[in-house]
Amino acid sequence: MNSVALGWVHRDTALPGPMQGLGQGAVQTIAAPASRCGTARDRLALLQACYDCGIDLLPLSCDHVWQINPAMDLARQCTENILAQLATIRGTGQLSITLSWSGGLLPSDRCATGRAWLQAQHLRQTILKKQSCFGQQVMDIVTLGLPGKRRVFDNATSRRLDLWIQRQDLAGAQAQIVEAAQHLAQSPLPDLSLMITGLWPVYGFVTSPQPCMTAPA
Amino acid sequence: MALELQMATPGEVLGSNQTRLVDVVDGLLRHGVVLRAELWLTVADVDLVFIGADLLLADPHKMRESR
Repeated sequence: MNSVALGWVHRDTALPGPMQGLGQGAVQTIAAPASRCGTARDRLALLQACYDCGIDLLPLSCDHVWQINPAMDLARQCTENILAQLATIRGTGQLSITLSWSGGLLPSDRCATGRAWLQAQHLRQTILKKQSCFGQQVMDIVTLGLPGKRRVFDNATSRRLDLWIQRQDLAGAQAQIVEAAQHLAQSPLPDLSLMITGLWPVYGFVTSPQPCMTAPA
Repeated sequence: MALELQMATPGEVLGSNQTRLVDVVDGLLRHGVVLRAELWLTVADVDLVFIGADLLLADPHKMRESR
């Protein structure tokens, strides 16, 4: 059967179908039939199915299809590193919070003269900078006091914050964000959208174990 | 003038084609562990060449087509 590697779990972890754990050591490689992993979204869904069963897992990046053998080799060569990471992420998950704002008020790129185009670009950058600054402040307010490590990703019209929390802290964190958002909603604000999703496996807080192999002289 | 709040479980996100939820998925896909093969070619204890490559599973025909 042609299989794809999705991540690693502790030995003897019972995985939901169609996944199975491969490997003899302290770490098992999560394998799934390639026929069920056609898209990145499929792989994300399969890992989520494991995670939703309460399994602590070290996820491989879902935007690639990873071979089984290199993943199993890595599990053998970097067992201690993977076990240490599994211990660190035990009972935790990732809450993703995305704040989006409208870019609809930006000036058009189509201008009659070069001078007008330059002015439009300058105005565009000024607006985006202000919106980004405002988005940062709103995100800081709604996530103020939440426990856990965080990573922030910005683009022109949104800011995403990944929060690393304990599974049991999910409801409390969501309630705290909703309360802060409802409080903010009473203020005059430009159109904003706040999206809270999770819990996900801790994609944003894991590191890649890297073996070093030496060719024979 | 409003602050719209939306909460979604992973199942709802994965089953949706809403642009905002698709963006959430795209953000997750880019993270996680990446497999890297690292090989030092060594002769007489002297490191000569370092080779690093992502270990992907791809159909060679498709790889040739994409070149």
